Amino acid sequence: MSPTHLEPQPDPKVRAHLEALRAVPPRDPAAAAQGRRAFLEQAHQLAVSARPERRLNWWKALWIGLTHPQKEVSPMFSALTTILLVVSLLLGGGGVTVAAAQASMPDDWLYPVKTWSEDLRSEITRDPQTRLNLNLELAERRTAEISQMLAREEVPPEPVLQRLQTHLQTALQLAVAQNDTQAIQALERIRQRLEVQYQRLQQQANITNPVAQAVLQRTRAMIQTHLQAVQEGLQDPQTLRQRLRQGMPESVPMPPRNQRPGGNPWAQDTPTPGSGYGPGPGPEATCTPGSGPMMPTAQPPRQGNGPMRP
Amino acid sequence: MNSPNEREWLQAAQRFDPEALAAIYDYYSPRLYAYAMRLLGDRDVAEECVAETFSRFLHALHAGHGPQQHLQAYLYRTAHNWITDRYRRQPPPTLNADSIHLSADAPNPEADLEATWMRQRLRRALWQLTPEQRQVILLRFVEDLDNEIVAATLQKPVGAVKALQHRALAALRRILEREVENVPNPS
Repeated sequence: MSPTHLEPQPDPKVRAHLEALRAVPPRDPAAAAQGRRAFLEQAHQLAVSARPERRLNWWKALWIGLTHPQKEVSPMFSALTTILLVVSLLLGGGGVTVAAAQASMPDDWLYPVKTWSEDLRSEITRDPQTRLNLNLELAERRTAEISQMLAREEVPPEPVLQRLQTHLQTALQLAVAQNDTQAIQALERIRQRLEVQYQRLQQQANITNPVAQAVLQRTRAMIQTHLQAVQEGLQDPQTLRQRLRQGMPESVPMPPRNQRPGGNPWAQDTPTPGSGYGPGPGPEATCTPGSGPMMPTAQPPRQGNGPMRP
Repeated sequence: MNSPNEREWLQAAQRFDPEALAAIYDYYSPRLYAYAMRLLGDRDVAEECVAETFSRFLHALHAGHGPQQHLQAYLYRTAHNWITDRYRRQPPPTLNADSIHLSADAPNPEADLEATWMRQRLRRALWQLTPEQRQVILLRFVEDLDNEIVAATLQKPVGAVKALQHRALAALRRILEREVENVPNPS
């Protein structure tokens, strides 16, 4: 009979060993309680960031529907995105439109196409290294957009800041999901690129619009916060993994290596839940396992029901 | 078989219902901890495994990719993948770390000693199997999950899981026999 039709059973000697393995020393109640608290706190943070309470008018809903198709604002907007795509492709202008959108700014009408195409790239990118590089590239784009708008004394829309936060956090999660050696190499790359972005923002001094000035401070602080997290990770990747699991980096204090007069409004003033600066919406909002190579930590499933397998 | 509340829990968890999430954690975290302890013999790493498994679960829910069914299978698979990946290059250094607590009050110290010895041998043997063989042995014969859940955990048909069990048991028996020849029983 084929082995697939039998119910295989261990022989007595193997079974005796297996029985010995059943006994497990009691779990430390304090550690168990701490784990439970951390889990529920993380759930709370994600729940808040998943369903921010906000008043939606039609254009905000359209913006969210187009830029974050996974967020369940309304099925109509996902459908609308699909219809727009199909019509665009049927008219033969899809590639042209997307290409033209790449240079658009957040206040341009083509900007949703730009972010949509970025989300699509993120969705179809499986290789963790490529995803990490993509998130760094997208973070640089967001910083450049913010920087350009601020230079014109304009205020970047909140979703742009949220996307920057998401890209940075995803890059960190992808970095530490590797083994320690690879994680340190990846973190070093992130550090170098973040420092360039930070320098770019530091050069913007003559902003008179107070709202724009506040956005500049927030953006600087956001990058600084991630820079410090990176530096912590360079010293001990495990510490950063734990911090990411607990919902960093909003509460991370400022790094000592960069001059920051006036403290860090991002880290000090912004409560994590509900602040809109959490993992945020979008396909890169979490670091999930998928069908690609398995990652050691912080890799929840990317598709279907299953966790990502190696 | 799913636990009686699993379907309701999953539906509520997808809404990030705190009570459902707490219930899921309370029900499954001791099982995942035991699973990790059996495989690793290290309390701290077992706790880390539980934390990471549930963290991945939350992120999956948040991303809309969480399990639609077979939550238990999903959690065991996630925990197993985490362990496998963490120790991909070499087995855990704590395979022999089972502490042996023998005292005059112990009702049967010799049996305790023997059980510890057998656990250590089995762990070492398990880590010589492939990850899937290790997984199927533990889930089927130690965690006592039925074939359907094991199949859902491994994402394989039941028939393939049975064939895998055959191969895994045969390999485990060979490894244990080889160990018996080489390692004297300390008791």
